[in-house]
Amino acid sequence: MSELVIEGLRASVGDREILRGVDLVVRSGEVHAIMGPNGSGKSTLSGVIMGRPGYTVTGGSVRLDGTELLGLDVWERAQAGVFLAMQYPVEVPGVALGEVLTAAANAGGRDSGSVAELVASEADRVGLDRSFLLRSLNVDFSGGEKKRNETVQLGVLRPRFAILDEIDSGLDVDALGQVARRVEDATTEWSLGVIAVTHYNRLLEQLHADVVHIFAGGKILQSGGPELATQLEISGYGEWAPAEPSAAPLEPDPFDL
Amino acid sequence: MFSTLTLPSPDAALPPVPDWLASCRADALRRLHDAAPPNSAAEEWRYSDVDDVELESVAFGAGPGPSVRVEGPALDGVTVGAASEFDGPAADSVAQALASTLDDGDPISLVSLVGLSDPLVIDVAPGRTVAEPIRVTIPVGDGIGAHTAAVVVRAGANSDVEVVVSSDGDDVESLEIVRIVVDVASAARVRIAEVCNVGSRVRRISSVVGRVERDASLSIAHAALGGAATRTRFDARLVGRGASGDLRAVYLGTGDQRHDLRTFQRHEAPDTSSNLVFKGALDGRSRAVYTGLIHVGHDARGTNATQSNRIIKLSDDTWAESVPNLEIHHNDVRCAHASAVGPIDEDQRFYLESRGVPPEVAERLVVAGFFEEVLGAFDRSGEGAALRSTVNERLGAGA
Repeated sequence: MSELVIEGLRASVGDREILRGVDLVVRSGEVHAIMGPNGSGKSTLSGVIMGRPGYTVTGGSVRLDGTELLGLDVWERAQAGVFLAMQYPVEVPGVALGEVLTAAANAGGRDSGSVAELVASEADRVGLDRSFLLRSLNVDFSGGEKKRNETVQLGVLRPRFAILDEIDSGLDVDALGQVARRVEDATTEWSLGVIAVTHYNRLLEQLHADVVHIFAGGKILQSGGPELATQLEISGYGEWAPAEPSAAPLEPDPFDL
Repeated sequence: MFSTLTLPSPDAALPPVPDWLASCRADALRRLHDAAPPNSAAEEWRYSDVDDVELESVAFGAGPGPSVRVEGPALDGVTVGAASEFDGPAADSVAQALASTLDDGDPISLVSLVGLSDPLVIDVAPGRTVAEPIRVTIPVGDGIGAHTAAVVVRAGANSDVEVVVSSDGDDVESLEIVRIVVDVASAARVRIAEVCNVGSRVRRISSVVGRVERDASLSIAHAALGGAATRTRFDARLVGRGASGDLRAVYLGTGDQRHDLRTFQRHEAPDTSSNLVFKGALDGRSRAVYTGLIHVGHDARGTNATQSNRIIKLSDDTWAESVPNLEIHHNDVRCAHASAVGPIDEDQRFYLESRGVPPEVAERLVVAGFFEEVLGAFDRSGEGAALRSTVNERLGAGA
């Protein structure tokens, strides 16, 4: 049983505070949905946990079974057992998926001999044509192919915790089903703990959340069971988020919050 | 540069070669005396950092026969031999190939011919498709003065050939002057893959000059990996309607290495196309400059030319300059150029690191991937795998 504990997490971009004290505990096998309006800081939370450059952590902690992640390099966080499925997976020309996962296995002292086989079987599970595995990572992939590719990596790396940053965006209904099923299987196969960041209830119809958190203004405002997501579907975020569009930042934001 | 260059006098006695070659050399020598010596005060050489290069003793015409080796069995329809063995019309045509590619603005082209004892000529008969690549090795000299070597490739009409040129040898203090002249007759297809992986004390000045006739194509792939300093010039002269040229290069700088690349895509006939993709990565205190010109002549309507040079700086102590130029004398053309110098893409690095890949490995993967668009051009001749592993080793060794 592992535990990811986020306490009082605060972070800024430039001099603008985005995360304003986030508290969250996720245990092995649990699925937590973080739902919130655009601009609420959901993606910042994902990025800060993983150590994405561009954010300044101003307070709080993120501990994985007692190990403070905030002081670690990005790759060390990954090796410690955290995985981020990105909202916009990056194109890396000339680099194939197998090379990356082999390098990751070698760095972690794991056997890299089975990587190719694992990648192929994971690709089959989410319906990603194997021909994509030989191509440059994410280059000329459709939105759905990119998200399937993220899910393949999740299956091969078998992290203890996965943050899925809007993994439902860009997915058609079939793909959404395959991806959600793969993640849900992982919660029993190796007790993966999941933080699923999403704007819509659509994902949660396929990936069943144990806990739903309403996230707005840089923190969790309310937590509850799956019924909270259903309620959101009906009422929208109006209750939690400022309705006035003028509340949005005037300048274009360099990061997708 | 060459401020200390001691030239033979115009009427100096050079080692015996056939009259036609002697007359080529004598002509080059006369022109060399008239030409301005290369000097870093001149625009052409200002980035080259060459003032400390001494060229006091070019091995002017030392010994008979080419210094260049060709491997492999004799091939049907392919004549390989020293230029001095040619006579009659064949000799005339080699002489013309050598002379027509001289450029008074490029004294090195003149020096290389003056100093040349005997070029190697590869002559492919019209209509002949050569299945296997022809491999040429240019050995690095013995460390005394400068060495010149030349390869002339003549591809007859509608022939098809690939020539792999490797510069290799001991790591000695030397200056290598290498010239590759490619004459592509109509509808012929020629690929030149050049791998320069010389030692860290070798300086190398080279040029690849191609003349491409109607509906013919010339592809040049160049890998500049080793050497203390390299200066490489590429000329693709598209002189026949529908001719095309493809120029690709990777250059990798570590330590105090310097790379100077200069390209000319010359469109002199209608409906010609050229594509240039150059990629460099610099680590340590290495330096690189790229200068490229797309020239579209008055008669070259329907030209389609692209030029892209991108450089990744892996260390703050590196220096790079990328200078693209266009010179267009016709309205009905399409030309595009792109140029970028910058650090490794932060998003790409983060993406790989977020999978558990350590920073130095992520960097190596990103750079290798960045080079892949060019390295793929070496796969056909089988050089690709070795090049990839050399690139990886060099990046792994760091600065």
